[in-house]
Amino acid sequence: MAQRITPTRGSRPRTPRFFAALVAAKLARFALRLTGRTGNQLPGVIAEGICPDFLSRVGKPERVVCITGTNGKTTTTNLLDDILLATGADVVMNRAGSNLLTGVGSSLLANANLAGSARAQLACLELDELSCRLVLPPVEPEILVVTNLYRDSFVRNANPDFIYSVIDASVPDTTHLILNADDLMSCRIAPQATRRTYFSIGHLPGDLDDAEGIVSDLGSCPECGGALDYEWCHLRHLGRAHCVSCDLENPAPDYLVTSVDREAHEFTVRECCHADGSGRAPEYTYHIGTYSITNLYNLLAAITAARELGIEAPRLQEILGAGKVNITAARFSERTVAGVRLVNLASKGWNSTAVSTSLATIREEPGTKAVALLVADLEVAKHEKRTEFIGWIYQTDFEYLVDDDIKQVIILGDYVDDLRVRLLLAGVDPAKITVADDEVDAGDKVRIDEVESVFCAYDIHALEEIERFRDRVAERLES
Amino acid sequence: MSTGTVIEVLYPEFGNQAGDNGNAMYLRACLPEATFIETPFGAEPAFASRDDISCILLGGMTERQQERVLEALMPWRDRLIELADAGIPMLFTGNAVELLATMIVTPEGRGITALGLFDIVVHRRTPERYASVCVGSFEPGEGAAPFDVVGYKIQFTQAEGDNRRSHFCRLKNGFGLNEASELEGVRRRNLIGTWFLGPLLPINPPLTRWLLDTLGETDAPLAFEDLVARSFEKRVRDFSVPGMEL
Repeated sequence: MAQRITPTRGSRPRTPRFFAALVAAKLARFALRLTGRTGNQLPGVIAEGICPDFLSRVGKPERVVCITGTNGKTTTTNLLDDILLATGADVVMNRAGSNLLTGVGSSLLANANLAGSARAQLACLELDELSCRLVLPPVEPEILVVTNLYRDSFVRNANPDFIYSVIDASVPDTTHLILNADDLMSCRIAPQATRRTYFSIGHLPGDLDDAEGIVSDLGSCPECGGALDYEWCHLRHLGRAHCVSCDLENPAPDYLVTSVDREAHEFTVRECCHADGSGRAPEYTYHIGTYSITNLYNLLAAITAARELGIEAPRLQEILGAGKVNITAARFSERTVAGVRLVNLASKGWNSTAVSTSLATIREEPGTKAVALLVADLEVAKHEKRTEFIGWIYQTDFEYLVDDDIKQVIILGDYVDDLRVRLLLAGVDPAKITVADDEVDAGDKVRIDEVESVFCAYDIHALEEIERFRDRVAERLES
Repeated sequence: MSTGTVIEVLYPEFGNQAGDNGNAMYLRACLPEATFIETPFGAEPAFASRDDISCILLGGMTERQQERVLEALMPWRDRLIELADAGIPMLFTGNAVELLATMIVTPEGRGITALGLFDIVVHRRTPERYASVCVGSFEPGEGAAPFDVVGYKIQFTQAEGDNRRSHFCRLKNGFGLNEASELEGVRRRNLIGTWFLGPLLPINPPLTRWLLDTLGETDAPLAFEDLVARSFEKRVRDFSVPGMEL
């Protein structure tokens, strides 16, 4: 395998080596398609293996949008994909593949003809934060959306400052950044890119008055380390704040959510960047299917990108109003069996923010409930010589499970005792904690007679386990 | 009623990057009557002016925060040494241990003068990362039997120096100061500095027992003792398997 080289900025000429890589990767793709496997990053791996700077040489669409950030990038990308498809655009996507270098490479080579040139002229690509270093310089996207920065898996991503530095150094100065004004971390990224558009959600009823959680990713000013004074906080550290020492504050938003009507499934966006000479800015009301503050952020990011791509607001209203653009079922799925709601929430194990947000969502849902946590080490436990770093459970807000309506918490995993200790430290009643041997046993142990809903926060690698759990609960309810 | 034990948690808003906040969380459960002081960045540490501090905790942070903390603690370097030599227990986990070195060298070659409690030099090699799971032996002191400690190491750094007489533990599995070393961390009487990160105390009940005893809290039971003990035994077994990784 050829050694990966330091990425260079911009496109490079196509060489015989590039064409060898292109043909080999396309043959691999063809073979995969014959076997019905379309979402594979193998073609990208082959292309990069033969021609390490394949991405610099393959033809890119004229317009490329990349979407990165710790949380919400998959959902935001899917939303923007759906919006663009609804406009009739021919879009290069990586939603069925991976968001790493080789996944992006696979998507671009699929779009390339045998001369290596791009066919479709618009791409919307989800991008892993660490892969920014390898993808952004050669691809030079027209637009980069950064949804937010939080702590993620410490094993993989270290800390948010590190991820910030990776993205910060990778963004070409020609790229138009679309940033979350409510995130004092990511909104400051890559000052070399001077074309910047900010989205924000204004003060909402029920906002917190400080950053949320037992640990905060923004416990102090990212510029000087001084204390932050929050005016309001929507979610974790996303909100409006200023530093009491250096006066750092959120940038003025270009797209601002001014109101939300949860009953009507609507929200209104003021386009401050399109204000007329008298300062009056146009406002547009959009449909949102399943409301949550995270869904609103994701949809707002997608709308901002769509507007900056030139899609007219009335067309966007029409597309969203038709209800065809919605949060992917793989992340949030619900069914009702014998009157009991069975809800699965993707929670990205090892990511304390994602799990905490899921637990907060569960707490806010009405009625009595059982909560199954399939967020631990199910994937790692399959490997004889791998173990899980459990530091994340001490950053996760299991305190949210201390709630009268939560009647049972079911846990499992290789190191289930660690999770049990953490739940006890959080103040969860020991009588409510049930330890299960596996996902089917967990399904057997749900006290279905005592609850109106069964929630399962699951790791995205535990898709088979979560279905087995839910099927077992459904079976019992049906019988 | 207070037991008289006063534990200072330095910069808790920083020292939680890998779940190191679990150490204070667990100690609170073990010592519900103790006083915990949380010193935020920008405030003078309580140990600087108080004589009743029983224990100091500082967890791992981001590299940027590490440099800020170093600057903030530098005026109290001599006081830290005085307390360490007086036998006050301290726990510096994750990259907090690097503050105790003589120097931290950045990937660009910039040398940052550190507190200098130990004669070691730390080299940041970002974005290179070094990870291992470790099992080692800790010697609590004269007349006391050594016991096992387990830990996770995930870091950007490698250190060089001589910690033969001042290590935290001798490893049976995993790497110490650097990938060629089997001696992990540093120790000065009851001050322990280790790259082991995350919730070190909840996963090491024998070490927590030693710490509580050193604090004079010999009657305090370990919180959820059966669970942490069972988990510890499993982890010692798992982490002793050659080739075990994260």
